[in-house]
Amino acid sequence: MSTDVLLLIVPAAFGGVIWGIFGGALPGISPSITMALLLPLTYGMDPTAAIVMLAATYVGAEYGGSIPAILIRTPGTNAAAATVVDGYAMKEQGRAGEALGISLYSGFVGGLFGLGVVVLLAEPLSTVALAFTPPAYFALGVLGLSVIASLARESLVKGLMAGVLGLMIATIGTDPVTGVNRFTFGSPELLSGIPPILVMVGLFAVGELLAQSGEIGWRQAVPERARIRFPGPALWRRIALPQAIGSVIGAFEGMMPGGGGAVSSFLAYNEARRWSRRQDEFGRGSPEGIAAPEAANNTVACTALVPILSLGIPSSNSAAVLLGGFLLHGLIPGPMLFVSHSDVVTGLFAGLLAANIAMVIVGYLMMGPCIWLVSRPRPYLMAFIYALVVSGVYAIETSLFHVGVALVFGVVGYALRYFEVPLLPMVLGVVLGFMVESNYRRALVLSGGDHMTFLQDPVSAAFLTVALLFLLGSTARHALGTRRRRGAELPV
Amino acid sequence: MNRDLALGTSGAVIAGGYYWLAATIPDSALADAVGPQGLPIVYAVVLLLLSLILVARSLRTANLEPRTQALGSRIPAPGFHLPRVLGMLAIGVVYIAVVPWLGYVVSLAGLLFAVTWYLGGVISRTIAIVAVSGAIVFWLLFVRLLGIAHPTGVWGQLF
Amino acid sequence: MTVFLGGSVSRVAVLVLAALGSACAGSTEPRRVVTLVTHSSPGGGSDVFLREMIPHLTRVMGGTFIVQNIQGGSGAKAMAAVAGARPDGTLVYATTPTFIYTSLLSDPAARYTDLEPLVNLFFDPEVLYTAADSTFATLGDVLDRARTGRGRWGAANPASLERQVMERLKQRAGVAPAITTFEGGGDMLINVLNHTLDMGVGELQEIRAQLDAGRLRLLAIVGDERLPQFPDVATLEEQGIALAVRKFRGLAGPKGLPADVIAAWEAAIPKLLDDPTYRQLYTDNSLQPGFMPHAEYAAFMRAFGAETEAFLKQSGVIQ
Repeated sequence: MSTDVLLLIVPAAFGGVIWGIFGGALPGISPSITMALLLPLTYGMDPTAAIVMLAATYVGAEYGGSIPAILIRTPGTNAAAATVVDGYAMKEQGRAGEALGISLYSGFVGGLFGLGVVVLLAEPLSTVALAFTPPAYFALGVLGLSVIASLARESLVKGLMAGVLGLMIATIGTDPVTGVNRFTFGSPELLSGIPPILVMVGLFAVGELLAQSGEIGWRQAVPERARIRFPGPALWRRIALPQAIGSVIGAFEGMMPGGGGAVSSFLAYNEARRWSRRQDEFGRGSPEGIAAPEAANNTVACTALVPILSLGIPSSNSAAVLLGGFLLHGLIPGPMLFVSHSDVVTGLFAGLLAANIAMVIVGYLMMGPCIWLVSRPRPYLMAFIYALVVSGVYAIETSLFHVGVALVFGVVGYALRYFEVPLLPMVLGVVLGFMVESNYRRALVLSGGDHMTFLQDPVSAAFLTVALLFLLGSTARHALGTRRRRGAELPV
Repeated sequence: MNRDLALGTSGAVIAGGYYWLAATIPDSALADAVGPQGLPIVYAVVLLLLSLILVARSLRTANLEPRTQALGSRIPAPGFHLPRVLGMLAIGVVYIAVVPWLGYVVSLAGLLFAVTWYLGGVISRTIAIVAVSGAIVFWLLFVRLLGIAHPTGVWGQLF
Repeated sequence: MTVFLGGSVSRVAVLVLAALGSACAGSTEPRRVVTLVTHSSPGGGSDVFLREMIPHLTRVMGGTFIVQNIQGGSGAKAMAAVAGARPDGTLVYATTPTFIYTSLLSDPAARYTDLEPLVNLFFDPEVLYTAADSTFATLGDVLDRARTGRGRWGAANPASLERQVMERLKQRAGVAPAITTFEGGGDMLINVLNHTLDMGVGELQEIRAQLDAGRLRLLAIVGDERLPQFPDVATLEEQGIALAVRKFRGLAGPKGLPADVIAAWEAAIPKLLDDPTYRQLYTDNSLQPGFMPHAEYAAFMRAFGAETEAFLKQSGVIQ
């Protein structure tokens, strides 16, 4: 590759990453919106630089989403929802810098792994996407939902209730099979359903604002040292396994159309917990609980390129914007791209490498100011979070209706906190509800109503078996835990 | 009334309301065997069952060990605090109501000022300065840099 | 959503709606700049189409053109913005069948009938296709399968022109296959490639990459005439099934567009379509030129709307 191409690509990668971290960190501005906002600007650019910039934005946004998740308990992106739990717990313990360091470092590891997969295996792996039939997607959704059982810490019943409420929210909008409107009350704003990020921002950010405003004693913000600690050797060893788990799960999820970062983060979180030697720390500030989902969603940012490069099929909204970027520059992604425009493909790979390095540099420089910002006096901090929420949520579809919806979910979030119902099962239900329902019904239409189709499809059968094992395992743990707890102190 | 009982009751009410709405989804000639009502009805029934389990369990434990259920929650019993929470919510609602008229910058400055004052309990010049400059920073960020068309309000017609 | 919540919150929702209704989206663009409004997001189908067209349109018509993406409500917001704009030709809307479907399926503030069709530019050819390594060589094979065994056909979206094509094909061919819908063309394409579906219907543009790589086989054109790029593929009519749709791409404006604005567009579009560089571009993008002047386009739109409404009512999607 010549130096003048590199001179175009490297700045494009840095620019994209900065833009991406920034957009990803603003709750409501999803990676796809961040990329879409950038797209018109890339119109006049060199095609390779433009594509690199868009891909780098995706990489940056997936890391950026974890910043507010850790610092203000609000996922900036869908995929950062799983990071909220342990990230915010660490922040509460005064370990925000460490949490951000783990997120950044894990994102880097995941990104490099994903890039390696794309470079070496893009063409052969395109068959992975083709293995996914409607029954397989349904089973994947069920597998994701089975995580609810282990997210529901104290009460399985409450966790399941939250999950079902999430599934109910996901039914709002156009019915996936017949096209009739369900629960929309004639409103065009609800035709395409309620975006999951709205539910998350409402439940976490607005709910937290409401809950904190009702607290009596104003806890002082824990003073933060604005120094970032990267994982030391001991921690490094400890988070290696969750990172590996996250990277592998993310690699597969990225390749499946419709999978996306959020599902992979939850699955990675769950798996990291299962294989951890310190399971009890999860939910109370475990570094592993950040490493796994963050490695996963950054891997997705790279492997999402597999279906788009090899098949020309976007696997997520972000990939769809990237596809638009290709088309705007007269490039048609698909099997022929490697032949007809191999220079663009190599340029993109080089750009992604630069983007992952840029992410570490930019991410590191941004941490100090971010931590400084969230260490301001409480009333100011909360006022700015409120302002951030109403501004960011509006941007999804420039809709005040959405701001109202976020406030409504804030009330729901407050109520759930009051009733001690865990929030994540509801998020999971909202994220997966549509995928589960549409593919369940689609599979039955195709099989003529025969439920055996879910067992005949090998991918589906495998996923459903794993989901069943999860459920049995978690239920057994719950039963044991309840017995052990009886008579002892209540859990904190 | 303990919280689980209240939660179970609300859950049952939600399940009922949702069931009613789901049952009235019109039939379609394009419908599959499950239909657009199929899974919503299943969800409603499952939620109802879970709610009933919770109600039953809370009634049983309420007799054995009263009030332990509420100890884990960090939100105290409603009453005294609810007005504060509603006030916080009202600020957001007022923002939505006025932003089409007053425009983004003015409304946001108002929101920043109101929240800081509401939670801090004091009015000072600092709060006003922070609110106004904060709103300008947000405007630069969202409108100028990201190019998101936040409402301009009446100012858009004046200039 | 109000389902889950008590009275105080539904009042919030009412407030929100009130605030929304009173927000009027006025355009404050300076004159001589024409804003092309699309409901698609940057990078989406209509957005890319407009951005690619602008340099050529500028050359033919003069002036400045900018693209404005008004997303949300599946086109409802864009329609409302255009319907409420001054009818002076500074704001035009890029039409696709989506705006008719949204008007019929929901209760938007402005419907397609509240807009003035201006001119049509193109048609997106709709094609029936199967996987190249499938056992189906012709449309007849697919129909035979649907007659004798379990046919499985796919359309990209639940309530869409593509779904309508498949339902009508099913009626007219007298077969009873299972018809499934997906969340967009790419999603469905995978299910054709992995043989979950016997046949899919979609825009030529969407499947172009796979077609070029020889992984798909075209079975029929769902239009009035054959495509110059694929002269060997017969239309459905030629194969004995009276079914043709025209997925349009045109422009519309607010009601009451002045005659000189209409005349300017009617004069410019044929010139634009004849422009050699632009012709190269749109042919590459698999678009079929389909200029219709104002009067013809308005009549076409009325007929299209009526037919779609009839289909949706007949199939019970709307009452």
